[in-house]
Amino acid sequence: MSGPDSGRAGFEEFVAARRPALLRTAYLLTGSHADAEDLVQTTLLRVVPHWRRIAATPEPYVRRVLARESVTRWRGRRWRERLVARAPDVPTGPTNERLALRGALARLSPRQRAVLVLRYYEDLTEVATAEALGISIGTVKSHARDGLARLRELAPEFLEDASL
Amino acid sequence: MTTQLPERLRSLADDAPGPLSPVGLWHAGRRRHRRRVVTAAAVVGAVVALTAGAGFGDYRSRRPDPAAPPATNSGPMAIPDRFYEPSPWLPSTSKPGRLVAVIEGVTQQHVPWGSSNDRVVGIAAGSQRYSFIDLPERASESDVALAPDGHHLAYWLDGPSNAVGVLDVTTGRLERHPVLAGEHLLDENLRWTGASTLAVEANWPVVKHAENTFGEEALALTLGSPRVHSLPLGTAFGDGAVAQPSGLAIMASQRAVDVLDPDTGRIIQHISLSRRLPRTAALDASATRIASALETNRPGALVVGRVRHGHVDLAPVPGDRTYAAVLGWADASHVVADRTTGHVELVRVDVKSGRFQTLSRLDAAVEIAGEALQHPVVAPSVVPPRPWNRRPILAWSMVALALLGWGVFLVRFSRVRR
Repeated sequence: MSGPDSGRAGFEEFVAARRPALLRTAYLLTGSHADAEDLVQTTLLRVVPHWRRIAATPEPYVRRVLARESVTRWRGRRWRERLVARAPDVPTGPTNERLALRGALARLSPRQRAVLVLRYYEDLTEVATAEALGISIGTVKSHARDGLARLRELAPEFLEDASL
Repeated sequence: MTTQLPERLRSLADDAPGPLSPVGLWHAGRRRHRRRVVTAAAVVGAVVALTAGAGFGDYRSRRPDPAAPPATNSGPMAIPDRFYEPSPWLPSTSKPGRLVAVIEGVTQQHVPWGSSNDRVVGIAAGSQRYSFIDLPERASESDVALAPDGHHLAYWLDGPSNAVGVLDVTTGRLERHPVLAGEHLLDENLRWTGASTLAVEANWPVVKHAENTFGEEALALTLGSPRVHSLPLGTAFGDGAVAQPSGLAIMASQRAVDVLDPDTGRIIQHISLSRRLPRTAALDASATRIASALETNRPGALVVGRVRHGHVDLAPVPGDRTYAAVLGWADASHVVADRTTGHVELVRVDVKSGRFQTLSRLDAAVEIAGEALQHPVVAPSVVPPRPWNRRPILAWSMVALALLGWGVFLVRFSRVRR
């Protein structure tokens, strides 16, 4: 099939197989169900025109679009969403660990959050993280260092670790 | 934390929303892509159309009237029946061709910002094309004198030494004539005494016997020749000076006129006047008739007289007191004068009857080439181009681009949020 719909089947197979994983990453990047769905939706829409070129190994390209879109969207949203003077309180206690981590991640800069998610959730190397976000390796390192320090500061009770 | 963080992130990712159906994503992605291509094409098309439209409109506004007659560098010069106020956005050139008139003290605007004061606009003979004239090395605020044949412009040059520059407006070539070296000149005057002879007068401060005084000298220059010779001192170029006919240099006090041989500087005729002349007067080519306008600060009557035995009895010309200056003799019985009513016009006046014929309307202070005033021929005026003010065009283009960019931004982000 060489028409405009060539590759559609492969694309839909990829979406069916990888969409849950993309949603998990997107949720870590956005901290919200709606935003995660929106981010994945936008990422996949942006991937369609390039599908024929990336069909053999779509994962790196899709991850790159997802990561960069999460940073770009946050920039675009800053002026459209009303800012509050302070972020919501981060709940503490062992039963609220997920909420606490989500709150702490939400208070990182978008790029710090993306670096931590790609490095420690997607388990990418520094080189792959830099390539995915379009930044230098040095910037990846500094964002990772600063992001971790900020997390320690925001959630010291349940993120303490002797190895830090 | 680095050992705990992956585990905690995986735990948090378990809260991610459940998978949705991918139905329609492919077509939605293709539609989105087409929309973006169309939007980009529309933006590019709009920018290209805007730029092309502005460029074409600007070109059309600067283009001379295609129906205008061609420029002429020889033959009789016709006077346009109207001289227009020049646009500050006219183009510049150092080779406008033979000029029928110049307008001094015009402000030229530059793109994107800035302006130059005291520029000179030339009106080409024949084509009547208006353009700013680039005067190389011109001293700041130097007067400019247009040769009677319209081929040269004379002006003082900038620089540590004193020099007069003569620009050939048909070739753009500048001829330099050093004069009065070493003096700090104060008042400097230039006056053409023929198609290729130029009279120069200047003064400078002198301290003599602990008193401040002034040195003064008048010189004659000849084009294409390094020869400089002195002219008699006097009131050569102040009030009461006499406009020279072709080939003669004239000097006068307010009660007398001396006719000079410009080649030697020798006075060849002394003419006394029956009354003081407050304004520039005109001597005819035969040096037998003098005409002038009376009154100093407002229009006055014309006076005219014939030279008899070295004396002239000046008598008023019949008619109203609306004359600002006499520019020259058109023929033996007519003078060309500036007449001021609601506006200024160039008229030919019969010195016996006082009847006048309007030659041209002057919307600006023009200096007309001397030859054009002799037996004047009038041509229909060609309206000069009125180039657009490019600053608003530039500003509006930027606003339009910004609005386009803003629109694209809004469309893009509103679709992302959908």
